[in-house]
Amino acid sequence: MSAFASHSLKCRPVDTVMDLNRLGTLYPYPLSFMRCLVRQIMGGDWNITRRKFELDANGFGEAVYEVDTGAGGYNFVVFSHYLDPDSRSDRVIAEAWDMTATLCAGELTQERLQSLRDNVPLQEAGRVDSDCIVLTRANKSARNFSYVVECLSRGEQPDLDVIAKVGYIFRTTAVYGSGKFGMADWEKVCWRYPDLASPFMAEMLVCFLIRQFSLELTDWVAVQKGGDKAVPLSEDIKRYVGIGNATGLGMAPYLITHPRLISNWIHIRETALRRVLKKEMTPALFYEFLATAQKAVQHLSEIDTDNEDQNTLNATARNQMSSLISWADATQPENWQTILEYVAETCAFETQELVNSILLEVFREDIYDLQSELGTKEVYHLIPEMTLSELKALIETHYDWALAEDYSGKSCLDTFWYRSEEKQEPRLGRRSQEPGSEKEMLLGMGYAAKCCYDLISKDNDRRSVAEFVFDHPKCRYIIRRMQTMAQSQCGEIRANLLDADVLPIQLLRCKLSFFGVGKFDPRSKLWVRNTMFQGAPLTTDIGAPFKDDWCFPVRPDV
Amino acid sequence: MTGVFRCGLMSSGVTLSLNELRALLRKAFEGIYGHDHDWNALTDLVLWLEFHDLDGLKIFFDAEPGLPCDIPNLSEGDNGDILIDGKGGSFLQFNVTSCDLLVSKAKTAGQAVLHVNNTKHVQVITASVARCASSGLAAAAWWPSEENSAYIAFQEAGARAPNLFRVSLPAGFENYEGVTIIAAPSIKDIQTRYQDWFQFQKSGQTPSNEIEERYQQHLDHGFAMSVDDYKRLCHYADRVLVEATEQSRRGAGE
Repeated sequence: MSAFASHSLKCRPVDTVMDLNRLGTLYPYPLSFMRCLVRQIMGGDWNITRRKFELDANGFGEAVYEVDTGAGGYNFVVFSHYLDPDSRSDRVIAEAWDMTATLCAGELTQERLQSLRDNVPLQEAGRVDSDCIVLTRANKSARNFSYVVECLSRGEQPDLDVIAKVGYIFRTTAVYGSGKFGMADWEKVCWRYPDLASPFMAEMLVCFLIRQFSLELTDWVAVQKGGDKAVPLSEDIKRYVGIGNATGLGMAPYLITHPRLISNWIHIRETALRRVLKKEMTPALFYEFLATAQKAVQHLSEIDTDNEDQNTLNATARNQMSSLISWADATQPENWQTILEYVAETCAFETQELVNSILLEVFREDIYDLQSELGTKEVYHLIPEMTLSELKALIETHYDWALAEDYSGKSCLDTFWYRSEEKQEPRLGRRSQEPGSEKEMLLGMGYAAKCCYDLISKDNDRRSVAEFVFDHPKCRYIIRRMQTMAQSQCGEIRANLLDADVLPIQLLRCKLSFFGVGKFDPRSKLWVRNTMFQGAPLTTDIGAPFKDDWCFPVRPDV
Repeated sequence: MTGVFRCGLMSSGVTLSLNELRALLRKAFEGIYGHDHDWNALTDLVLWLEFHDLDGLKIFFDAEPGLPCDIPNLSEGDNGDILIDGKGGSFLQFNVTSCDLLVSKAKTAGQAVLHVNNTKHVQVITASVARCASSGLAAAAWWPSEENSAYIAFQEAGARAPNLFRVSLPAGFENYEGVTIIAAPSIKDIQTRYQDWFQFQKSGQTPSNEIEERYQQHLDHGFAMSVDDYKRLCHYADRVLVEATEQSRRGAGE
């Protein structure tokens, strides 16, 4: 029995966990990257200090925050700009933003600051040095910024109903790392800046710092406007303010082009769940489960999006959670497995995954050690000596889902993914209606696996993979990918991404859940607004006792 | 250029991160071969050569006009050696799949020999030596240089980088053509069978630690390239981009 098969006996079956319809309902959990970062900030020797805040009365100018992690020092350099409201866009093709920023290592000399001043506001059109780690930009929430400033300048706190509707003051529209635009490679980050060497740690830190800047900027502009009458935003409301994020198709290909990493993230989540299910259900833990579930219900009830489908999903999850709480209260189940069985029988995927996240919250301290295993080396070696009969068997076992898909229907292959000449933005096209399919990106892995299988089936079983790929070099990539993923714990995401009805938003939500993002607000099936760090501590909380319980943020009592 | 690879600081040259260079090359290969080829492997090959001072980018630029070329002819010699006729094309294109054959045969038969003739850019074979070593095999390769000399590259199984020598060829070897690579469990196995090649007078060596230091420097400070080379790469990479239309903007969520 392979390692893969023996693991599948202990975890949920891979065809369950890797189904995109389920992955598209995942909720954040204690090992989501945002949570990992905040634990690191609050639990270590971190200090975040504002070193420069040279803004005019309207809040335009420069700011620098120094981040001391105990193991290294970084500067977060912010440029705050005037932006014509007509130019404010979340799209990657935008060319101007309310703020632009970079996180960089190394000394911040005047010469370097000038270079950053010249390039960071240009974003994709600029170049930064190899000690820069992240490049980002953000726009104001038109609704919230003016309203909050207006209230504070009059000496009043803003109405929480208004804050809750959006949940943030600034919204990021891109967070670039991994060597883009001349920045440090991921390999260099691992080598030189090990304190940021967890998946997306630097990117999450930057979002955390944008949130901090947005709060300080709001206080600043309110004081400039209201003078002595102005008050700062209350600390409780500040904690409730997150950082918005707009995520589009750009994130979707990542999940397909990094299958080992994604398989590992999902395997770690399943491992955590498996570990938790073995835990004894004491009265105290049962009460904590119910309390967290109740908080999740309140959290869901406070989400208000313009997307009717999402509102329906949230309402269903809320109602099913309420039913679960009543059932659990009445029946007093003896173990956690009983609860999950009840949920599997009576609830939708969305609720099932929400309950899993709640369980993982209850036992968060028992799974922290898994955090160090989230990264993995992404190597995809060909096994050239494998015979074609062995390869066929491998595909039949691990890509059965791809072979079972019927690709003959008119709409089954109608979607193609490509990069637009506009900032290389990934886009979807209809093969039957639009030009450009000859330049499509290879994201339909199921179909590629099926095509390769059909070709192999016509060949001599005793030939080696090496002989086959010499004649069919176009099959080499998909073969080494299949050979590698067959050895992984969870394998590929199971979906036909070429179908006319594909829902890319499911890919986005899956990845965002691993980031720790909540409050999904789909704007279409192609992009989603969401909120990060809502309920998280502030930099002023560093050093204070920290319980890591800021999941499912709810309105504060103020 | 229609893509995004146009930016500031371009007057004297441009410094790219290794990931940027990798992404650019991947797109360039994708632009040449289409999306379903193993352009990741080709990219890794070019970068490996470049970082080992073996002119990866120069070979890429030199080979590009002829890519993609025909699949070479594969046959088996009387002694079981793998024989490939490259049909005059660049070895860059079929180095990876040739090495697959070598590794496959060495792993099943214990030892394998590959001869490649009628091909350009034979020094690309050095990357195959390294790949054999990372696959648990020792390997040695040689190919002719100018003026009765040749290069030898060899690497023990699991070693970090190959040893590269230039040797003077004695009488009797003047007409040596093509490139030969042998994979076996250990270098000793190869030396026993091909002792002549290991006894020629050595005239130059690139130590493996120098190669590693060069890579670390690129990683730390980026990879500097000329504006002309950069624009040329961008030109190939831009082939993967699709023209923007109102319809395509709707495909991004507008």
